[in-house]
Amino acid sequence: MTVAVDIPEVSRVPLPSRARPSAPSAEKVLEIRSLSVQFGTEDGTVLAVDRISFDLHARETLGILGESGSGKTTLSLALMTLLPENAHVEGQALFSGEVIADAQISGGAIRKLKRRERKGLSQKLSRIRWRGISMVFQGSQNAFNPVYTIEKQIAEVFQIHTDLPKQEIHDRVVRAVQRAGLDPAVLKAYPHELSGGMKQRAVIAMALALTPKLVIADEPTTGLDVVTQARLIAELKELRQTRIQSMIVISHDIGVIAQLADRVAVMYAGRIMELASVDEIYSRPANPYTKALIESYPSIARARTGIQGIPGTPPDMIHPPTGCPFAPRCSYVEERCRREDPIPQEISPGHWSACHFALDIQAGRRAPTVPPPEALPPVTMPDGLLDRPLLVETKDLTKFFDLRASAGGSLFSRPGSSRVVHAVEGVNLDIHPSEIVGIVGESGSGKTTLGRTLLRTIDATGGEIRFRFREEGKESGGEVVDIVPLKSSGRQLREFRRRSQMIFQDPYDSLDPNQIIYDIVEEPLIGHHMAANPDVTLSRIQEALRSVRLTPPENYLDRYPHELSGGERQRVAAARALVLKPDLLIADEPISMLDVSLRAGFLNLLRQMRVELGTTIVYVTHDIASARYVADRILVMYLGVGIEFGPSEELIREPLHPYTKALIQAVPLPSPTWNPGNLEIMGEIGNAINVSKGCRFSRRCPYRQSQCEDVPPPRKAHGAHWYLCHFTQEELLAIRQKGGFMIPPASSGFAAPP
Amino acid sequence: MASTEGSAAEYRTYREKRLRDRVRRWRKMWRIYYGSRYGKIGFWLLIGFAVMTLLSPILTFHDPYTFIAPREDSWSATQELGAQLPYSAVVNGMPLEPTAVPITSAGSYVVYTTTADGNVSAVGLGATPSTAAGEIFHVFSPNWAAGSTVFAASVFALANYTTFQSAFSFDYSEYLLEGATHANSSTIDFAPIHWSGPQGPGDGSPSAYDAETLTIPGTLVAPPVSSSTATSIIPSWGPFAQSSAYTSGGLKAAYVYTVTRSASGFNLSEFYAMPLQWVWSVHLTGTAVPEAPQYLGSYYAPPAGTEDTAVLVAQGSTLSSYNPGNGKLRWAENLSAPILPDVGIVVPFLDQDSFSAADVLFLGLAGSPGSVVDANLTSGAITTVTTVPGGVDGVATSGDAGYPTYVCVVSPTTVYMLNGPKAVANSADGLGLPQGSGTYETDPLYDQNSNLMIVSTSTGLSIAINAALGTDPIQWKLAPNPLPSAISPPLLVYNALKGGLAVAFVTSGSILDLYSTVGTDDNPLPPEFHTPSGNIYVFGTNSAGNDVWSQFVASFVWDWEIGLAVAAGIILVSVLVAMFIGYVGNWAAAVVETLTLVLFLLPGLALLIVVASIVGASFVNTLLVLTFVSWPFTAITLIGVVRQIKSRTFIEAARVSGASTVQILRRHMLPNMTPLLAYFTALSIGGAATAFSTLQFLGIAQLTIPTWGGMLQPMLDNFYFALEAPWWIWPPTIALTMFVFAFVFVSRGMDEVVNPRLRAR
Repeated sequence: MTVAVDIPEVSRVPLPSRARPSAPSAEKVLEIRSLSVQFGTEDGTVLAVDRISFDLHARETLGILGESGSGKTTLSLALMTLLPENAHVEGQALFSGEVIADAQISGGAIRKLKRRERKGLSQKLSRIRWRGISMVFQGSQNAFNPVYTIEKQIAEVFQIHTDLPKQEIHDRVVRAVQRAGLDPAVLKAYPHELSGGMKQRAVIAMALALTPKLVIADEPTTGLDVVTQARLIAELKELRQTRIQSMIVISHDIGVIAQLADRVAVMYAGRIMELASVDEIYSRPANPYTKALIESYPSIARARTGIQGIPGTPPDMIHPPTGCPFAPRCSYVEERCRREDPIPQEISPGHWSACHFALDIQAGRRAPTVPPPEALPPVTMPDGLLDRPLLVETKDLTKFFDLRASAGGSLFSRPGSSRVVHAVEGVNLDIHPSEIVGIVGESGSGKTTLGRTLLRTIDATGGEIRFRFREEGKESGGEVVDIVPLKSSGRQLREFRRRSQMIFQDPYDSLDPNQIIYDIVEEPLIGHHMAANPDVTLSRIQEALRSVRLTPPENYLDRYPHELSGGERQRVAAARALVLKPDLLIADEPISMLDVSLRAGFLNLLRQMRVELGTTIVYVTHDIASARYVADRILVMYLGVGIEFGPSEELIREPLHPYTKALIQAVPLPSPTWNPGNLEIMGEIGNAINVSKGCRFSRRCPYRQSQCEDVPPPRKAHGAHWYLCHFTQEELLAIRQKGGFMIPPASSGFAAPP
Repeated sequence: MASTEGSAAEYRTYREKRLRDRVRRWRKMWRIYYGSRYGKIGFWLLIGFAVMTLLSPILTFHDPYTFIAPREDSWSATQELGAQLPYSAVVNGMPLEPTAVPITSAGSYVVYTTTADGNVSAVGLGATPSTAAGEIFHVFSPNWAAGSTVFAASVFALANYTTFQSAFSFDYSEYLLEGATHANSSTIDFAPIHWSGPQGPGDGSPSAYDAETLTIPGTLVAPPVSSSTATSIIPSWGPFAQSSAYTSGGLKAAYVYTVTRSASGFNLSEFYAMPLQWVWSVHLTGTAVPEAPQYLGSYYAPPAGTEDTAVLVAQGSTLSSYNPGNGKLRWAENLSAPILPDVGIVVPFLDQDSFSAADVLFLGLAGSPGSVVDANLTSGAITTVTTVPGGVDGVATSGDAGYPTYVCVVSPTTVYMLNGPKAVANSADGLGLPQGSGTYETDPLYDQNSNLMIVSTSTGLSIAINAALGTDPIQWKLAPNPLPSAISPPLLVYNALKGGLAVAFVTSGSILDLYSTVGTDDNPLPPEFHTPSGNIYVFGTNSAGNDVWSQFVASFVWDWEIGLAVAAGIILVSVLVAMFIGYVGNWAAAVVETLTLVLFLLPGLALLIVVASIVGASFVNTLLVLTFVSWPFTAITLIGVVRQIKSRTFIEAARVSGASTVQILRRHMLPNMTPLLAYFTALSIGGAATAFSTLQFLGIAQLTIPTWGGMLQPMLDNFYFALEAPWWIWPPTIALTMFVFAFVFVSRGMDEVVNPRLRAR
């Protein structure tokens, strides 16, 4: 838990309109010639990058789009000559005409160099690194050394790579952080005092410190909140225009790539499937993979039509398939694809695609050879859903975490200071049987705590959770029990446990790596003493696997989690949750760790579960677009409080709360033409320790008035749709027009916390 | 298989498949493990240790602690002198027997050796006039006529008293050394040596006189003998007593007896030695060649015709007794078999001049089985003492007056010790010959100080046998090292230098060796495969006489057992504690964790010593103490692991699934800890073996359990053992080191399995 004070940070108003940087020059910054990278592992040789060739011109930004395992990070490591020793490189990469990766100097080959050659190489690399090429590593905002100030860590770059005097270094550091959109006051701060967005900006400042020719940004916005992400994207766009010569942006997020790149390379199984300008990629994709990828993900802008993920899983790169690597998953596949490796062809100037039928695909002339999976029923709320008697109802559900509860906390915390985390406070939620309720919020909003409190894996601090213990097969009736005060060893709580299950965020961690699928799915049956008869157990397990579309179940029972793809793992987790036929299922960010192509499939599964099994699902997510796709109603949470709740279509189209409005506005669209415009929000979410007495959102709210800070806002209902605010929509509009609208300052002062 | 779901057979199939999968994964882990250099070395080391452990019951030849190397292997006489003689003392291939004489009342000795050409050397033993310890004097070179045969030097007489008296004021000691030559003529030459000088440190020196020639009746058939006896050459009296004895009686103290062959038969003659003159001759009645005669009785007072002296002659199967005063035959007895010349006439030490007891004359008779008879000195009455299979090689008795306490009869392969008058030899009295020592030879020597019979064997080995036999009959052995090509019959002398009896030999013809009759413990013995007892000492013995090899091999089992037992305890306790602290984590767990930390932070060895001394050093206690002291280290590490696993989502998932704590710990926690547990088990085994060894080394744990550390315990007192007895110290040191290293290597290899980041390197 960070203890940073909640300080609004720089926000640029208005966000720069989408403008192309000056046209790329002919100067080639980077030339990659048939570059391959292989890793020797215990299981065999993994082909991570497979004969990639492209050029990067000065003042150009290349986006590399790919799922996990597509080799995009390996490629960037190869460019930085940072490959581990078990790597073997073929081909060549040239930076400004100098070799930075080939079979002699990359990976384990370095060991074979003679001493003098190695010294020369290391001199060359220290010259190129950071001054020539700098990199923003994935998640590096969390890699700051916690015991040094930000200034010291950025200044280190200058100390290592230049001989400047101290004062000069200081000046340059100040300029660097200003360029990255930070107030120089952050330089005196320690990493834990900064929010995630500020840290990421500091990392970018570090990367830009020596004005390198090329910046490689690996997933620069992953792990940031939507609002911060939108802002960072805008800032990077601006930087790209003014400071950076050329840039490689690596991401799995189509939206982010669409915003930042001039050209996009779509990678799959270590290859570039398609390489074209960003507009071409989005408007006229010429590769089935690109096409499927763009279509596979729910978009906040797109209507709630059924989406289809890409079936199957990425190939095993230890034994890469012959022919096109995408062939097993491609809906336009032909015999030729499995036999013949498609050679990248330039179908129009600057547009390359590795597909035998590129032109046909682009023109939409080609009919799918593989029929699409059965169409899902239209995504609508089942009739009369909201009339059914409630399954779960919470009354002022509250969960506080007392930081002093531990021995260390009580010994060392300052007396009198409030050290209570208001993780969930006063949440009123009603869930009908067979409903899918989405809980949406940024990280730190308490949505996960709410989910766990609902399941009573964490005990609530206050309030009620009324759960209806329905009789088998009956919609209504049954005893309604408040499960909060139940004894942990009691019969009724056990029964509740049987009726409530959870799907966790990380499918790689939620399955015991030592167990086969049979054991994993059997677990709840053992826990509830229902595994006495092996025949019954087996049939239950098979049924559960079948209900999550892992068919035939026999193929999965004796496999280990590591043999499955992320999507399959998450389905196994779902099967484990379903084997007890629970009434209530909490899915905690179930798709956030999945590859883009697999997400749609899992979302569809959730919907099918509701239809086929009548399961009630609470879908917890930070991704409002996916919530829109699956959920009947959405609860938006902010700092532990549910601030808006309503039917999902209505909530997305007509958000009532200022926060919801900003949130929806900030979601990047997978289209180069997206412009979030002026985000009506300030700063970042902060923490739930020092919360305001009044509206939780008041500190970031541009509509803030004097009473917001002190008086808790009332609930304002619009039919089934309500929100917590002092003002009606008309009042909000009036505030805006009256000019009482608080425009976020162009550069808000950063004050280092005491 | 898809159609009929839910059959029990299918269920079993999945279980089996899972088992197979587990095997496959273990195999993969094994590949990674074996792929690491450390793992490979560790694995083969462990295989080596395991093989040795399995073979250890076969290879443990002796009980590690109760077996003590028998004295015949581990005790030996200490060499006190090894004097290089200035010539070769060999006649007919055999070194001549040395002769010793006391030269002072304090017991200083001179040992003489003779050569074929008549050269004589004297080796002084002790602070005497002119004889510093071990000093060799070439005393005499008489220039015998060509073709002479030289008999061994015989020291037997005080010289004439006039010489004695003239030197009186200077406190003389004076002796006669007789060198004898035997020409084919009927003469022999006697060469007296005058040995004079002040008693005590000074420059007394020997001087030789010209040889005197004596005409004898016929040719000599045996070396001449003097009237000196075993006791009479020991001057138990001082010069004044001597002088009064001589002056009052006017006696001539030294006589020489010869047996000669003349045309009429064999003659026994007596001569007076100084000046050399004939006294009498008698004709021997028998036809067999007589052996050298033997004189009994006090030689300085041989009154003619007195009954307490005798000259005994063995001739074929006849034994005759003559009166030395007048040469008259007292008695002659015919025996059932020829008298064995090698055995000769054996009379107990004190009876040789006191002549008081009856039945103290022992003879060995030829034949197989041979017999030993005793004879009455005054009447000649013969009694058979015993019969031994294989014939008689030698006879000796203890030296006490009267009938001897012990009569030792030696057959070629057995020594019989007859205890009591006329005891009959039976197998219980017999002592077999130690292995590889040939056959017994010659008469044993009796050491009255230690009550030892010292017998010699054909391989040059001398063995001291406790006359009372007892449980450890062989007290020591004496094998000159290197074994000489030839060795003279041994002689018991008094080594004044060392203050005890010593066995003297001439070995290889030119070295005079003296060995103390008091054996010393040779342990630790070096590695030895051919020992007198037949035991094999692959790694020698330790200072207590235990077989190092047996201890070493038996330690394999114990080190494994200790290691496994303690490691099992450590893992069990630490897993339980770690799970309690890490998983349950309530206030009681906090208390336990604090206690664990306290225990962890206490210095291990000190704690080990303290706890071990409090609870007592029984084996089980020691194991418990080791477990008690060692588990916190593992537990502290495991707590972190348990917490880390607990924080993983699948644990929460299991809780949501309704799994009980026990179910979670068993189904999730334990399997995910297994590789780490294997790692810790490996470390703990090595550590426990070391810790136990440490306790044994320090003497805190019982030493009844053979372990390598226990074997090293004596090093604590004397670390020079590492140099003095490398065969003993180094094998356990190396084995213990390798044992620990094996597990360290194994755990390094496992580390690569557990810790994939190490693998890439």
